[in-house]
Amino acid sequence: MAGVGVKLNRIFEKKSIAADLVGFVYSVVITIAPMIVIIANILLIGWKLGFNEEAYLTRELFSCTILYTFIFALLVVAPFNAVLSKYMQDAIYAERYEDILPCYYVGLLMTVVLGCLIGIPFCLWEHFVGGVEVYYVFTGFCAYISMILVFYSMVYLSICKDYERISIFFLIGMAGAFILAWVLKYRCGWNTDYSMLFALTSGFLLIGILEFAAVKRYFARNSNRFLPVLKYFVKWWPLVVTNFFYILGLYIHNFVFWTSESRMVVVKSFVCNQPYDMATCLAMFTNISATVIFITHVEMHFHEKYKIYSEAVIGGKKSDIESAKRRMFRQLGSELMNLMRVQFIISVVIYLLCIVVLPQFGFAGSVMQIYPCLAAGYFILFLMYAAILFLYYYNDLTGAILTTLSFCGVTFVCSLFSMQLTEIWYGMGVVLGSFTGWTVAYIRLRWVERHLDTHIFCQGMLLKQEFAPRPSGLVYRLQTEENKEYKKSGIIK
Amino acid sequence: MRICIIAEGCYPYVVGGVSSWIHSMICSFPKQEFVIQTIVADRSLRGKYVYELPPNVTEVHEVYLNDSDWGRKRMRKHRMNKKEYQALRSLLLGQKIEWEILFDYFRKHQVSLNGMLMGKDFLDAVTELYQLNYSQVVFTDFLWMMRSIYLPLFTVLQAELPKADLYHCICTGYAGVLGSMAKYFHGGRMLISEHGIYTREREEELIMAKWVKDIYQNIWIEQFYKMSSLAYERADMVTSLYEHARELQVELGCPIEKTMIVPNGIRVEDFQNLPGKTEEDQGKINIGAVLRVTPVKDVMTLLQAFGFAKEREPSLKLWIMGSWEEDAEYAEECFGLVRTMGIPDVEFTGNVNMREYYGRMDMTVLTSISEGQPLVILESFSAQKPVIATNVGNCRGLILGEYDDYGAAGMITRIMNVEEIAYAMTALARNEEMRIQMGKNGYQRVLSRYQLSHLQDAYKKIYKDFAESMQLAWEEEGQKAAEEKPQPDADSGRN
Repeated sequence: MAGVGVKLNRIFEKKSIAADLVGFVYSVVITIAPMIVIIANILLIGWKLGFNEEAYLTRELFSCTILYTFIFALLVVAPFNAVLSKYMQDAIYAERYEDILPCYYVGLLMTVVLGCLIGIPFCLWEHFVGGVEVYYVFTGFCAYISMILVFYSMVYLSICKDYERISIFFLIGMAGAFILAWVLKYRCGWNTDYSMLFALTSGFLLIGILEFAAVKRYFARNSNRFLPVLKYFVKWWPLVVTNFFYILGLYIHNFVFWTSESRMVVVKSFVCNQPYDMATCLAMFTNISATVIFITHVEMHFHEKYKIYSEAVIGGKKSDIESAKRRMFRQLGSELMNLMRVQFIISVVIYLLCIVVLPQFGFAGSVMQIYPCLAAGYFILFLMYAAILFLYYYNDLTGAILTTLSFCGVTFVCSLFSMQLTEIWYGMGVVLGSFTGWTVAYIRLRWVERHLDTHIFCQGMLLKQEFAPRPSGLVYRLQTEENKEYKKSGIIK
Repeated sequence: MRICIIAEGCYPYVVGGVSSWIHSMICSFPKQEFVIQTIVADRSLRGKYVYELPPNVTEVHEVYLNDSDWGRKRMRKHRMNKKEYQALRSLLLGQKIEWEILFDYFRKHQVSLNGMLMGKDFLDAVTELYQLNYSQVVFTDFLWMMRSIYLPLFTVLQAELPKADLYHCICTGYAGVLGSMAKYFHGGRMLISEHGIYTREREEELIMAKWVKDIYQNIWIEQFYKMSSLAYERADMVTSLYEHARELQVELGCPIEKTMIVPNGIRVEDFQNLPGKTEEDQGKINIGAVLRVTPVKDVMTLLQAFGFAKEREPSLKLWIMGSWEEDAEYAEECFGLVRTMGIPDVEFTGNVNMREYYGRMDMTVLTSISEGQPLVILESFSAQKPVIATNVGNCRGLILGEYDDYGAAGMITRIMNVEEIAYAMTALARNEEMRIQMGKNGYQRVLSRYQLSHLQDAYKKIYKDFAESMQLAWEEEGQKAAEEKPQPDADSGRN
């Protein structure tokens, strides 16, 4: 995000509320432009095709299909992505560009297989128990797999820092979907909901194909070295766990609320809790800019200090190392405080806007009751994510696992309790879970600071490790009657 | 009595002076049981002996300096307690080293070397040493150098040692550490027989080494000093081959009352009635160099000196008798030098039976840059041949005489001095009378002080005294105790 970082830093350097807001708009556009394009397109198609005139069940089935497609595609892609990104970054660093395409294929295969393991049973259930037509179920399944391809390929293009291209692909895909939906409805005479679903699936597939083509164009050569990718999963398994729990934690409170009395079950298959899900979506958008602000800021300031420290470790005196370490951790603290300050201002403004503006667009009642607490929760959650990124910097994967595990666990347990409270406290699960995660990450960062020398200088192995007892040093014994047994066992020659 | 010989990188894996000495010692005491504890580079050498082990050797144990980290579980980072950490610190700082605690630590905890050297305790101790003495150097380099310095020592400290009544170390260094450790765990006595002065030899090597520079040379040297101090402190007796070596031992911290001089000895009768010159040798003055073609023997200087001498005295012929496999690259350089300089009459024989060659020689030459008390000089004396040798180890004492007035048995030159060596070759070549007289002087000298029987008697007394001090029964050896089967070192290249 170097290019983005430079622009954002120019904005934030002014250190005013207005500047913070401009920075927010810019970072949101960069990070969630693709999502905005999809949501806007769904709303636009729906409006043009008269989706609101459809039967309630039809509308809910369509909404749930799209919601599940998004959530589960993200969940499926998340666990493997961190390791694949790591492999790809290492390959780029070592200029082994020909190793990236094998990494892409291995990752894609693993992700799609995992996606199918979850998706196919659900689709069978949807058809046989829910009674949904095969063509509809199959199209939904295709949308889900296409979305997996889209999210998966996005990682590769993100690493190449080609955000503009990603946004253009989304625009093309969604424009295509819009036209196709119109043609299907008005020229072919298809149902509104199925026209929309089919068009969106085609749009997702088009985006996925465009991204795949871009990846292939970037990394034209293929070394066909697939095994090293799999070995990375063995070596970096904590990244899989961390990412999985982080993404699961993001949604686990939704899953909890899908079991509440206010849930809605569509065709005996899809479960959702519309007010809570909508409030979650708003809370996430309120705070999402934190991720970009943080990453870019870290890249510009903290990374510099980290580099100085690394250089001191490689070729400096101990006194140089110590002073570089002190400066680096001072910068780390200041980055966290800075993020909190900027994001707080942004979140407060958006929160107020939501409270004032949204009721006029029909968002009121339960949604706006649940939203404040969740917004606070997501604010802490993104601060926690920033701390996790710092833990990654120090390669403290144990810390990262502990953080996401505690975040996910506490969010789950506390959401079970908060479900019993009044609507305004529904988001307490996320608040407490995020706070726990943030606390663990912070304690762990302090621990890393205290033990950084051990962490830096005591890693790796000096000798080859043999997982066996040390062989006896006895290699010769005079052959007598007593020691024939030794000879048999091969201890002596 | 069960005697454990502790040897480093020699017997029974390679042919050489020290290996030969050990072998004849074992053969000299056939009624004593010998166990051999060896220190070798790595497991590729496991059981690859060039000597046939005598029947009184009952066991051979090996320690590998370059080994893997063994253990059923993954790398264990066992933390030291306060006392253990203090002992580690004392080792690194070289202050009143608490060796017993270290011996126990490595024995009791089944320490993982990866865990130990990559652990926090080692890092802390190294940091402390760094802050105290070396705070101006690159820390990471310092840390890794310390790891590489202590890796072989810690490997040795992990060794399981055989039980014996007497631990006879053939040098200090790692062998001395093993001997001290064995004495600590199993009791018994400890004897050190140094051929060269281990610490000084390592020091010389390190000063010349290209892979280690500046302060790291000093740290390595200090490390060897620490190990020698331990060995001298724990030994009950320390023998050396000659007076100057004894003085060096005392200088290095060995209590003078523990020291004793026991010179090398050879079987003089093996070099009697040797076949003389052949038709091929007519009109030639043969110079024999019995050595392995390695840098420590400084064969390059020998060849250059011979080249100059040959120009002055065309009848000279140089015979280099010994293997060149040990350092093929150096050997190739030597062959190249002969070709480049166009030196005629240089013969590289490889390994040969020396008894067939000594009689044909008019003199022998040894241009080493480091020696103890070379057996090759004693052999040459036994064959009544004068020797030209560099002034290293006990060469001066052997050639000019320390304890007798027989007169010079050859000529002494400075090391790496081409001119002096060439002059000595020419001088001896041109004066047959002097050669013959010097040969006789050498023969008288070897008869008077450097016979194998002298050596056997000295060690018999030492062993016997140790046995008595431990109230062990001592079985007298038979008359033919010293007879042994022909071994590889009966050929050339032992030096």
